[in-house]
Amino acid sequence: MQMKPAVIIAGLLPFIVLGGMIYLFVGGALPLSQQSTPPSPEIWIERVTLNPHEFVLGVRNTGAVEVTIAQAFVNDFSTAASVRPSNVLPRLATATVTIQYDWISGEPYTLTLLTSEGVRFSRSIDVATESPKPNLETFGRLGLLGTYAGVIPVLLGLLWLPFLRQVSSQWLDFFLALTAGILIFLGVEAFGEAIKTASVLPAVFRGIPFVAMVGIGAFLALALVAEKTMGSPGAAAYGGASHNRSSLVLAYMIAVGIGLHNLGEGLAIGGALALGELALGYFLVLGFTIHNVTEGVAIVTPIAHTRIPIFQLATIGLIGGLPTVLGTWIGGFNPSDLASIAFLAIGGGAIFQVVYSILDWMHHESGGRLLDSFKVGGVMAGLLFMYLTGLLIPA
Amino acid sequence: MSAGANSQVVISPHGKLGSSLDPDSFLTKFEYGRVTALPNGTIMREFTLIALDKTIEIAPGVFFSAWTFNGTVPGPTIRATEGDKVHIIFYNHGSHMHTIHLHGVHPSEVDGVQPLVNPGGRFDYTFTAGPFGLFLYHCHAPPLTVHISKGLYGAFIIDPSGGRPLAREMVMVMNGYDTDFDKENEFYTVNGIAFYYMHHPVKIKLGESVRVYLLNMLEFDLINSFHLHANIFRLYRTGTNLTSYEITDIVTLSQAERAILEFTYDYPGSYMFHAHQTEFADLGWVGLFEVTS
Repeated sequence: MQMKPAVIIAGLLPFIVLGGMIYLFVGGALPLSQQSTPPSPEIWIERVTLNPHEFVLGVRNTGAVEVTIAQAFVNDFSTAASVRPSNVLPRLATATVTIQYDWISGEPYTLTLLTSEGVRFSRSIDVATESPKPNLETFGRLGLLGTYAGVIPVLLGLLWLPFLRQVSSQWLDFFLALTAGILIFLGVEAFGEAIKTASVLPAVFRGIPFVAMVGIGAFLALALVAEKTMGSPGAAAYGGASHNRSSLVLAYMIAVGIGLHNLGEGLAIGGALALGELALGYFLVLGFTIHNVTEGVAIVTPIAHTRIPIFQLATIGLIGGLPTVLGTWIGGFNPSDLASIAFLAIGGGAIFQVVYSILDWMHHESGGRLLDSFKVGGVMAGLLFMYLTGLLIPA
Repeated sequence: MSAGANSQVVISPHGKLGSSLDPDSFLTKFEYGRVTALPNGTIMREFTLIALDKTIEIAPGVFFSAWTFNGTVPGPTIRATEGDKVHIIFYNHGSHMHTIHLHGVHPSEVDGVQPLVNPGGRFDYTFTAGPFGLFLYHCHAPPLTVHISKGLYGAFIIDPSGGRPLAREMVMVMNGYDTDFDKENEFYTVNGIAFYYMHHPVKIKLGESVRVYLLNMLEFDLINSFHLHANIFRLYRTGTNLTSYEITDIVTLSQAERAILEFTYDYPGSYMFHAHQTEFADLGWVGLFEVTS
């Protein structure tokens, strides 16, 4: 596209004026830019890794001014620490603080960094336990837990396919609506979890808008990708494409949405194990195993009357289940809160996109008639079922 | 990443310090004032104390916005003999109202509760020193906790007219710093800098008689203590009696209490002294005597 110089200037003019205004403000020409008291320093201890005889802290300057980390404490013990690359952190810069300390397994600790102004920033560890190292053994162990929590239950859920093939179309609508109910529950849960974590982020990250940005982005991206690659299931049904194709598209989309959601569940399991909450980690696995059987049902319901090869069915199942394993790894090897929130919001956005697709598909399949007792009952049953099985998962 | 990515900085409670405080010199520095003899033969000692806002380095890299007498925390150790006339000229060059309140016997007008001295103002405190003992001075402007915890205090020694037996004398003022103003101390020190005498041991001679003037100026924590390793000391509480003492290796003092300690080391080597509230020791109130022959 060729642009006329006049157009370019017109586009740049506001920026030029803005630059001038900023210069006036910062340059001190106006009687309001200089404050006598500088803003308070603020640092955020993003993550803590426990190695034998040492704590490793990931630190970020989340305040408005440069921060110098001057001293370190373990509980109320003043101790030496090494800081990489420097103990002077410009705005948003990060540093790694290593504290040699003979910590005691199973005991709680509070790690504190003191700025040169004497302001304290702390992070607590409820139960000290060695952080998992990325090696074959821990990968295997975390992977197995992820398999239990995500892959096995989803594949088990697929075993309802022969049953679903036998039910009437009204009852199939019920099960599809049940799927929508299940997904709505999972989506709300994902956003709830994301917002809960986002609200403890330092203010500079604007946690709640960040969740909205990532969630809406995931929703739109998934919708666009589905549209470009497979066509929307609703439109496919409406446009008279084969029922096989539109139902298969929907099954894949449900699997992708559930898969992204299960990534978040994996993060929760891996994170609990990394923080030494072994009991919580194992209960999470057990709870998710039961909870996630329904996800398999959700995936196969649209293809109840579609003939598909067994390997394709397995592929769809694995798309839904395998991300749990990936999430367990990421969570187990200590991600930042920001990454966890992003994964949860992606999962939430994807789930709601899938809910939209299911409703779109059902709307066209039923000739525009969405509100009947089977469909409404299905959604309600899905929500209730998830709520009840959710009671098995420790919060 | 740049080449700097492999760089590393060690932060340590025993690290390098700036020069805002000098606990080495403070330890054995006694201010006797400008001495004149009055017509009746009485000795007159004139001191100048100036309240100053000053940022001091209280642990390596940690800077505390202190209120000081003459620019240091603790303030100078002032010393007179029982019966001397003491004249303290106080200038307030700080940003808040301050006073000087001395412990000891004196008239109400110079008790340092009233008047509050405005920034830029002056007040003269004149009285006769007595009785002998180990006392202190501090700002008495309200709120007291703020004015004391920010650093406005020092030791005030009144010697008995006959003096005390010859000894190597030193002052130790135990204090703390609440750097984040949450009414809890981040650091505990003796003579102003956390851990200072761990890396600058106090040197004493084998068999030498040592006398420590010990003050507790701690705020927020009710008590503080001094424990001497591998030795025992004669304890003269408040220093107001020359003959009766206790023999012990630990003394516990509440806020603003004082004691005089006397001891001698019989073996050469390095010996710790520290608060036996061990959490205070972990946060800076710990030091070393280095005994050489």
